[in-house]
Amino acid sequence: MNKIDDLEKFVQEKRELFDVKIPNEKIWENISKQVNAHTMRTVWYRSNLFRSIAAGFTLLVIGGSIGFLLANKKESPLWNIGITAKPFTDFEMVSQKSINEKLFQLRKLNAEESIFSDLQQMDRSMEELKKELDRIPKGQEKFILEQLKRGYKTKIDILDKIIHRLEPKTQKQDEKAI
Amino acid sequence: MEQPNTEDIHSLVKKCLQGNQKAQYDLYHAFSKAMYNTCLRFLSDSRDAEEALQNAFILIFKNMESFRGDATIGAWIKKIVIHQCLNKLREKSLAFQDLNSHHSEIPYEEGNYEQLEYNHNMIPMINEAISALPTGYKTVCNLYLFEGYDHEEIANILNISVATSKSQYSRAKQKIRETLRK
Repeated sequence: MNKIDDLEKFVQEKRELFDVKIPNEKIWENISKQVNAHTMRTVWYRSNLFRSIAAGFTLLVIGGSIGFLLANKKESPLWNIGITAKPFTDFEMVSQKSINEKLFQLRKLNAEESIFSDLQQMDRSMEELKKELDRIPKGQEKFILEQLKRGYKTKIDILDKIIHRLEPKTQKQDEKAI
Repeated sequence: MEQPNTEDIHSLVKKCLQGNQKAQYDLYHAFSKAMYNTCLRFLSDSRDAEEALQNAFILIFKNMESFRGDATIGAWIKKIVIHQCLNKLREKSLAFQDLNSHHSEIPYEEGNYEQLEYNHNMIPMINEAISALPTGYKTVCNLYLFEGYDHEEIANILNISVATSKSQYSRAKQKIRETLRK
């Protein structure tokens, strides 16, 4: 075992007296912001995203159910939405393109994986609703198409909100890195 | 702030894991002063020290679930803080150039030195003498003298030989003594 010399002995005995400097309080503020911003963002995602998805999902399910109930009714004012299958296909293509672009943007912003799984959950709900189209009498699919259209709009709206929330933070981080 | 006891620390860690911000603040305050001074000793620059401390505590709070309790929380925090300091030195390409020079492994005997009367007034002088050391000497000296690592552990951390660690530590102490005698 090494022999302790006078310097080592002094440092060992007075170790705490060597720690004289006090860290700036700003350090804690920065730590707290970074650590708890993560938590706050997660809470925001989970509350708002789920609320939005739940609202969208409810809209779709209720829509689907009402659609079924009304499937045999003719001349209902609800049918006067003015949507046909052809314009819906165009709408779906444009919407899906926009969604893909926004998903790409979200990936670039390093959004949490939970967001993507939540959005996939919404996709599954919409896929279920699309299957309804095959079950209802021909010529009476307008209501479901309208619900699907609302579903796409809701999804685009949710993506815009998340991107809006993430963008300023990323810009600040980039500025700091420069 | 009064240093919390083991039970308080255990309870603080538990609350931190639940995202309790008051507990995070208390845990930070229990260790921040000592850890900031550790950063200063390694980095010798207050801005670098602040950044290392900040990055270390962000990592600590974000990865607290990986603390298994097989070491004390203080030892776990210290390990992360020192790791951040060494990374900072590597980033700045400051670290360990002097440790890789051809003569760094040559055994160095301190020999006989004049005994000094150490007292409280010499503490700032010792801190300054350490700050003025070449980065490699300073890193080995801090790890051994202040942080309690042995030469084998230092050799592993810095990827150098045990002989180099011992030799550089002896040279560092010699330089500190020379500064104190002036």
